[in-house]
Amino acid sequence: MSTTSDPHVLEHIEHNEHAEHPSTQLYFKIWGALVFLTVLTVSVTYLDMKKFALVTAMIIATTKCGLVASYFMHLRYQARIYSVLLFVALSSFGVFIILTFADMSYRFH
Amino acid sequence: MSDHTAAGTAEAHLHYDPVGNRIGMWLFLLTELILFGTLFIIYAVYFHRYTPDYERAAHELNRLIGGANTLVLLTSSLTMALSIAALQKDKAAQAIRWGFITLGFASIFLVVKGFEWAHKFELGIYFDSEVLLARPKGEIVFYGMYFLMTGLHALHVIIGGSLIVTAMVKIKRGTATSKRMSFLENTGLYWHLVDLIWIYLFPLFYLIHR
Amino acid sequence: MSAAALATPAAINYINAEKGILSWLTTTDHKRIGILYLCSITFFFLFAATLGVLMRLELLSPGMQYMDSETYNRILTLHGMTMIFLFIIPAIPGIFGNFFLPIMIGAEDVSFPKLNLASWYFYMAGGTLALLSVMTGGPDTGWTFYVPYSFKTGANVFYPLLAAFILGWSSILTGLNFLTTVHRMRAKGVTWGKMPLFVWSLYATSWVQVIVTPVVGILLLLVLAERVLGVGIFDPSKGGDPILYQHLFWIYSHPAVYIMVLPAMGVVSEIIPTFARRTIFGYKFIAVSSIAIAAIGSLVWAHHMFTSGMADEARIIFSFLTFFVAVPSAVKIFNWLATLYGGSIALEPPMVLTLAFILIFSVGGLTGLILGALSTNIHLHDTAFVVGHFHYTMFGSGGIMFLAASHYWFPKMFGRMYNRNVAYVSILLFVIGFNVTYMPLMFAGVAGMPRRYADYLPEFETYHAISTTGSWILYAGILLMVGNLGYSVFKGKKTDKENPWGGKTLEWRTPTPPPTLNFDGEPDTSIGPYDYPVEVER
Repeated sequence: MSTTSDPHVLEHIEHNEHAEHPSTQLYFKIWGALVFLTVLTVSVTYLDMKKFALVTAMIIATTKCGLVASYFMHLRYQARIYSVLLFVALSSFGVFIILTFADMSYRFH
Repeated sequence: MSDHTAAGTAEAHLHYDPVGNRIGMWLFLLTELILFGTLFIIYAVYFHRYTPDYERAAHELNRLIGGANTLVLLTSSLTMALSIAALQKDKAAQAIRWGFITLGFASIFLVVKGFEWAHKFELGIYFDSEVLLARPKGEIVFYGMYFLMTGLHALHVIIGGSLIVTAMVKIKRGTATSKRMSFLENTGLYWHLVDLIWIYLFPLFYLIHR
Repeated sequence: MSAAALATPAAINYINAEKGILSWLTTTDHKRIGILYLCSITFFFLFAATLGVLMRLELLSPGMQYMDSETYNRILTLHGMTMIFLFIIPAIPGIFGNFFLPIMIGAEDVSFPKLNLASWYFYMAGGTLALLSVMTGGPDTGWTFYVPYSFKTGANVFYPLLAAFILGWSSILTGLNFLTTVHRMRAKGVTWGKMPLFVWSLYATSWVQVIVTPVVGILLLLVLAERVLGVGIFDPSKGGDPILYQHLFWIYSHPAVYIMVLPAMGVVSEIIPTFARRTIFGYKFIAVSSIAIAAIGSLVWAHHMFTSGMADEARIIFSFLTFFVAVPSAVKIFNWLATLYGGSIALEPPMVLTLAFILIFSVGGLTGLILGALSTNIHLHDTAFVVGHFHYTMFGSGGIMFLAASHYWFPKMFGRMYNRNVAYVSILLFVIGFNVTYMPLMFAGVAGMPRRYADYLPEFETYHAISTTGSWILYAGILLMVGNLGYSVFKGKKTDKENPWGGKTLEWRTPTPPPTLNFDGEPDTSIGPYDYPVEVER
């Protein structure tokens, strides 16, 4: 973190990153993938997935979010600091939910 | 105030810092994620407690309409990204055009959402209604979370829409250009976040039934 | 501006650069915003302290003498709410963070000056709403707004909930601003390893603010929704779980304790090397322990809920995790003591207050371990012991260090000096009053005195009588201290000494009071924040 967040290093990255923005073509490809995944996640609900229905839906949703964040939100093309920020938030959220369930999962079976 | 050391001009002295603006925006997005995350925790706790009720209630939401609306929002994310890409290449008119298309998709999304809500209201399902209170507890909670979360999400769509309008005005006036991208870029980030949240809301409310 | 033109350039500073009340209310200068916070926070501090004295007065003897229990509940709620949301959380970051963070890293301002001003207006809006709620009777829920009572009570909890929500955003935006500023605005030479420890502590605090405040923000809105719309997610009769509310509330409100404590610890880390004339001992450990406290502090919230009906397994997990927070806190205390060892200690007013902090906070921290242990907690939960404990930790850190920081940075902020003799007297009153007020509460708690009660059995009278007497001494000390500082802002002896205490951080190497852009020319970052030239011989 100490190297990526140094202002001068970031400035340097800032100049470079414009060259690496995704092309219009790539944007459309990502959109195509997102549409496919949406159709997929709706389609699989017509199968009787039992316990795996929720897991499947969550895996697909997470994949979609990954695509939006890395390409539309440019996380892939930018300094690592933004991914680090996102990681801090998501891991905090993960900790909150795990520790809440430390109570809930024992209280409601 | 001609004296350049005066306090009023201190801000003008600060240079334009696109990286700083972006870090600030990402930090703000984190707070939004945690804000919705709290609602997701509540959702998860009651899902764990009332799984059968949740699944029954979810069955009453139309997954095809929800899916179509998801596609609308995903496409608006694409057009938003294209608007930013256009401004980066100094194509202001094109950027504005993509911006308005994004707004169009946002409106479609809200109208569809409005019809869905109106339909539930017609069936007598809303907060504290007799019809809802007569149902099992898990369904009361499910619909409570449904209206709260999609309502808050819709509010974010409206805020995002207003930001897009502001960005378009700025492009028109020439205060948002390829040299000063921050406002449009941050608007885009906000818009994609609205999309990200919906990507989770959709399966959690429409697709969890067996 | 002829006056400005006639004066020499050096005489122009942030105070006289512009005139008129409007220039203050529309300023984007971080130093002026710091002063705005100073005025408003001091007001709310005195307001809430007065409420506290009124509560203690009622508790002087058994039976109800001066108010009914309804009024007592409302005063109790307002005292807690004001002290937490309007005083301790914003005090050190809002005033001294705003004023000195940019200077300490050699920047001209924060990253988002307009947003900074907006934060203050959010703060004022929240404060005004809280005051409005007093006029409409005031809330009677306690500052925790526990459901289901908070959405069933007839008292006005709408304003306070909204107030707390708005104050939350003020806090988030300040944190966001500080984080971006630390990442982007550091002058060349101010590397992560050369940042003053006060900045490190504010950095850690800001992270906590940004990550956990949204939880309570949305939660308070949900209580509002529950009240107005009857949603049902916290209403057990409709399937809701009140204990889930408590979880979410403490996910914010326990880390909020560290939002109060960490900046105070940062101030300690500045004051001790300055007045011991020694390099801080274990710079890296203190910096990292700030981050560690922020991180571990987010994992322990449910120790506030040991008697709430939570699952046994969860209680054991949370009790276990709670002990870990003591480690980085102790690391800091030992490092400060090691810094003092062999130092050439100057017992100036800020230093005396800081030493009082170490003593008082240690009592608070150690009693915290007693409460963190599951078995003793069951006995002491919701007793006056807890009240004593959290006054020792929160007032004993955020409160005392707010006063210490005021004495430390006063000459730099105003270009004047307060009366040192009066300062010593007020500190003596403060420290005696503090211990006489809160120590008996711990004994009363062990004996079984519940907290939040307006009345009590005769057997507790001695404890309460001592405590109430202490509250008068404490209040006198506070009034004298604030009076001394307030008077000196306008009438104190003028000083333009750049470095009255011999500090090494950057704010001591700029004119007094600082110019609008903080430095005349480039800040000199060649000297590190704790580079004291001679190591003292032992």
